[in-house]
Amino acid sequence: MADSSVSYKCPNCGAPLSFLPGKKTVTCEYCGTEFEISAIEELFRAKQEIAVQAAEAQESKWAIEDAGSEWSSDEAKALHAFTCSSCGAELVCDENTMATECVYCGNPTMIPKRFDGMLKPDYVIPFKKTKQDAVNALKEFYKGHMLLPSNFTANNRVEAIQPMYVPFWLFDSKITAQAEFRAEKHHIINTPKEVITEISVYNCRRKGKMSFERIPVDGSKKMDDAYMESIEPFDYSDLVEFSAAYFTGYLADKYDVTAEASSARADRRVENSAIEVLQNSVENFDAVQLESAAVKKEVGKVSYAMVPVWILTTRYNDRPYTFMMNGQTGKVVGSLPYDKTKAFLYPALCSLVLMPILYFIISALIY
Amino acid sequence: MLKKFLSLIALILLISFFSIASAAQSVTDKAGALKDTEIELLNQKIHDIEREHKIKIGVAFVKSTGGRDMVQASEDILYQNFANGKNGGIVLLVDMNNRKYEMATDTRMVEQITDMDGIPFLKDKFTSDLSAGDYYGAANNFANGVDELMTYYETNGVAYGQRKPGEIDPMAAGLAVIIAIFLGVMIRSILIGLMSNVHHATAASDYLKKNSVKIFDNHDTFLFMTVKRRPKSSGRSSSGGGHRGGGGGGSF
Repeated sequence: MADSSVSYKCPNCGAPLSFLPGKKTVTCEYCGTEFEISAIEELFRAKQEIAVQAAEAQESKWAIEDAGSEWSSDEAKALHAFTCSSCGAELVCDENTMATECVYCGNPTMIPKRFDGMLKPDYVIPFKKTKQDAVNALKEFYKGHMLLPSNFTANNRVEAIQPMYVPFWLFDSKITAQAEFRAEKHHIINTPKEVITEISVYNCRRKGKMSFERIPVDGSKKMDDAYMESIEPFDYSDLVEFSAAYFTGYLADKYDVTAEASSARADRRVENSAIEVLQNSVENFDAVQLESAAVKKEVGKVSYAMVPVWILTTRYNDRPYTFMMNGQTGKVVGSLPYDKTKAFLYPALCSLVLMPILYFIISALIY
Repeated sequence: MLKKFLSLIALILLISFFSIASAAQSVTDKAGALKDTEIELLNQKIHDIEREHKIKIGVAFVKSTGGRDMVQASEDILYQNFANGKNGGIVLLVDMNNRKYEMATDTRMVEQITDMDGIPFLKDKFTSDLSAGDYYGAANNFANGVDELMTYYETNGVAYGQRKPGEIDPMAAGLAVIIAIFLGVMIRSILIGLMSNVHHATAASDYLKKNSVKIFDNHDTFLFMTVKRRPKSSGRSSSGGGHRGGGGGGSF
């Protein structure tokens, strides 16, 4: 039976191939042979076609067995089995997994069937940060947090570290924005008996055009939107044309939120920034307040890119804590637990120190 | 003709007003508010208080100050005739026509009878008598009030209403506790907030092409003007000598 997955093995020695961060080629870590990405693509194209057919055959079998199984139809839809081409183990992944590694032999594996019926990514930002970079960055991230429980860092062990290519929609837009602001100029006159403030009120109209380039919005339901927005920004100078070869050795998900569904998030951000630009042009006033605004999109272009993210999971008091690192820039984001005793003691100590100082200030002001 | 007549009246009033100063009696009545016996009794009483506390006290009833400011007029009387007390001086001036009164204290007295607590204490002592037309009672109670305040100062070492050295002010302490607790809660919120750097992005400024911004409509239209007036804290005006005494007054 043909394999339903394709292992990227070295044509020279048969060892698994990996795309190493910071390199422009796929390297065999065992024999050191380097391959051009285009050569690897050509080499494995035929294998991928066969794997697609095999996967289709397996899926039809799955459907028959499913009729009498205890899985609900939704669960069965989300779970998919495939065989590892290296060790033959049967692996299960969810419906969006495009690339993974075998949990038994660690072989990097593609699931080409998942590329069907969906858009091919236009770009990919290759991983620049290694696993060790991610671990070091997480340790650095712990520093400087006063309320971090002492035993969190002492007994801390990263449970899982996964490098993943996350699907992102990149929105380009040219917009026309117009807004009205109420602005005030304050003129203060000091007389011996009173302070006179003259407030001149103006209506300020602004209209302008501007362009935004590649606003990233993740296309994965699995990834928390706030986390994905927090690992921004990305350096698009590293953006390269997509090739599946970059996936070797990494997990990769396909999008399950369409560009159309994601566009509202990009629109909201564009609108806020456009208004900010217009407001900043209302100069030489003492107070400026937005009255009304309208933003019209004239040109909207969307591209599809795969973005590198390190996902690190740790556990504290039986609760998982997930951190994410931008695989390109190394920016770590996450929420740390806090020690409730410290959260009470430190502010209480500050209050106690401040109390006599405040007392003397207040006493001096009253008398 | 009328102008000349009014000027003459003003001159007479002014002369009669300053004649109070030359009299140098503790109590002077140019408005006919007191009987001679009452003036005598008051002078005796005030003399005793002055001697006991080594201060100077003046009480003056006038028909009018001749258009002069009450604060100015009361300070003039004080600094011309009653400012030579060892422990300070105080004057009560009553304008019968305008039904106004004013107290003035010199630089030494203001430390013992403060504007914040001492002057209101004295007002409470005699204003009801003034309103009721009992001018002797008013002057008598004013003198008693000064006596009480001076006794308080001599007994406690601080002016009436003031804290003794080392004594904690409950109002300031209460405020300090409330503000410190509030700041503590704020610090706690900030420290807990710092434990996470996960936030939704609200803007796309990082992705704005800076040279793409072209603002082609730029109109500022003046709509209207509003004027806000805030009176400056009215420090008590003092006479030309640059005195820094105190006092206070009102109507009856």
